[in-house]
Amino acid sequence: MTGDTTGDTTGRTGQLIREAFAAEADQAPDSRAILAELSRARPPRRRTALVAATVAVVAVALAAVAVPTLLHRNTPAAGPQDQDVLLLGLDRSKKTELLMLAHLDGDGTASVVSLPDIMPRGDGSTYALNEVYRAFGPDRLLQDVAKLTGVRVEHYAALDLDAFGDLAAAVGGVPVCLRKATKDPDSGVSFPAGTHTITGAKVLPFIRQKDDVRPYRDDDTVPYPYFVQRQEAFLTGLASKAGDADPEAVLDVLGKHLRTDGELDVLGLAERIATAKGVRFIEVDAGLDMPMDTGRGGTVIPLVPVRAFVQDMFAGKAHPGGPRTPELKFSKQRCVY
Amino acid sequence: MRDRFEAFVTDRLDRLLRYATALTCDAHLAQDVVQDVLLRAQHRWARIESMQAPEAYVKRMITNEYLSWRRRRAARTVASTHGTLDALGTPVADPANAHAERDAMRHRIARLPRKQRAAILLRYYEDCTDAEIADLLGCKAATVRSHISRALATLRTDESPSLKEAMT
Repeated sequence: MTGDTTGDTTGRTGQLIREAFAAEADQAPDSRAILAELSRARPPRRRTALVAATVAVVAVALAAVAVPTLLHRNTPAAGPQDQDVLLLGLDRSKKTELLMLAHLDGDGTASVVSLPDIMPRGDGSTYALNEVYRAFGPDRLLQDVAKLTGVRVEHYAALDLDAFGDLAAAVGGVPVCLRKATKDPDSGVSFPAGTHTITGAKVLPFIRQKDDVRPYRDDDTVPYPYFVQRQEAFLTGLASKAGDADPEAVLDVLGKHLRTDGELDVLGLAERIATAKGVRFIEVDAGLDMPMDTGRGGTVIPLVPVRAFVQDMFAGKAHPGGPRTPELKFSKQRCVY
Repeated sequence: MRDRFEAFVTDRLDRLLRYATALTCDAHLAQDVVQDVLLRAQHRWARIESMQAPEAYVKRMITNEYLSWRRRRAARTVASTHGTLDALGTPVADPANAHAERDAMRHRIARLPRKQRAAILLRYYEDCTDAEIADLLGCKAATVRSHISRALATLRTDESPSLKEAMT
C-alpha cells in the first residue's frame, strides 16, 4: 500500500477502489422501468416546447392584442416573399434567454429554429452566444448567427420577457383558472386554485412554471406538459381581454420592451406568424444540452450539419433531428393544472 | 432509426446503469439520470450513432448530467449491501473481512466531491487515461491529476490502521 501514487492503479488501494465501484455498480436499478418509459415516450424536449410556446406567446400576444388595436394602418402586411428574422427573448440583465431564427416562407408557412447558446470558435473552443447581444450588440450577433447557420439575417426583434407581464397589465389583467393550487420552487411564486387574474410580475412565473410531469394528449403520442397548458391558458385569457386593451398602453409596452433593427415591420411579422398556415418549431440538433463548462474541448458544435439542418428546415424538408412540438390551441378557456 | 436506438439500449442499458450507479452512489438518481439522458439521446440518435463511439458519447452525457445535477444532492449514504448484511449475519466477527473493508471504501467514495468521484471512477472503473478523463470532464489534464490525487489522499487517509494491520 505504501508507494501507491497518483498514477498507480495496481496497489491495494486501487484494488479496493475497483472492488468498491463494482459493488456500488451492483446496486444498479432494474432496467425495465427505463425501457418502459423509453418505449412509451416520444418525449418532449422541454426547452424546445418552452421556446416554441414562447415564440407563440410573442406572436399571438402581438396578434391578439396589438394587431387589432393598432392595425389601423393601410399598408398591407409584408408580401409573399421569404423573410428571415432573428427573435430574441431577453432577461432583465439583457442576457439572451431565447434565441430563435424564424423563416417566413413565401408559401405562407413559417419555421422557427431555436439556436444553441454557445458558439464554436475556429480552434474548437466555444463562447457564449447568449452573451453576444448584451456584450457586443445586435450587429455582431447577426454576424455570428450567419456564421453558425449559413443564413444571412438582416432583421431582428428583441423582446424583454417582462413584456408579458406588462401586456397582461395593458389589458387589465388576464383571467386564468387553475384546478389546484401550485407552488413553483424555482420562482417561489404560488398560485391558488380557481379563477383569478394575473398580471405584472406574476405572469412569467405562471408561464414558466416547471414540473416534471409529462401528460400526453388523448392520442398518447404528442406530449402536452402542464406548462404548455398554462401558456395556452394565459394566451386564451389574453385574447379574451383583447377588446379591453388600452392601445396606448400596448404601444407603450412595445416601445419599452421591443427593440428591432429599425427596418423590421413588427406588426407585419406578428401578423405573418399568427396567420401562418403552419409553424414548425425545432431546436438545432447539435448536442448542446450539456453544461457550459464542458465547452473547453468537451463539446463539439458541428457547423456543417447545423447549416444543413437549418437549410433543410427552411426549405420545408423533414428532418429526423427533432420532434414537433404540439400546436398551441387557444379555442376556449378552461381550467388547467 | 428507432429500431437501432432500441437495439443500442437493449444492448447497453445495464452497463450504463451500472456506470451511473457507481458514479452517483444512488440507484434512484442513477435511474433518473440515465432515463433523462436516453430520452434526449433518442431524439438525436441519427447524429449520435454516426459518431465513432456512441456509447462513450452517451456516457459523457450521463457524466455531465450528473455533474450538473442541482436538484438533488448526491446521496451521502450507502445502502446496506448484501456484503454487510452477510457479515452481520456471520457469527464470527472478522475485522479483516474483505466486504467490510470494501464497504468502508464505498462510504469514503460516496463522500467525495462529485468531480473527484467522477475522476476516480473514470480512472479505476473505466481505466481512462488523464487525457481521456480531461476530455470527458471538460477540464485540463493537470486538473484531473489534482482531482485524483486529492481523492486518493482522502480515500487513503481514512483507512483505519487496524484494518491495515489486519491485512499485513
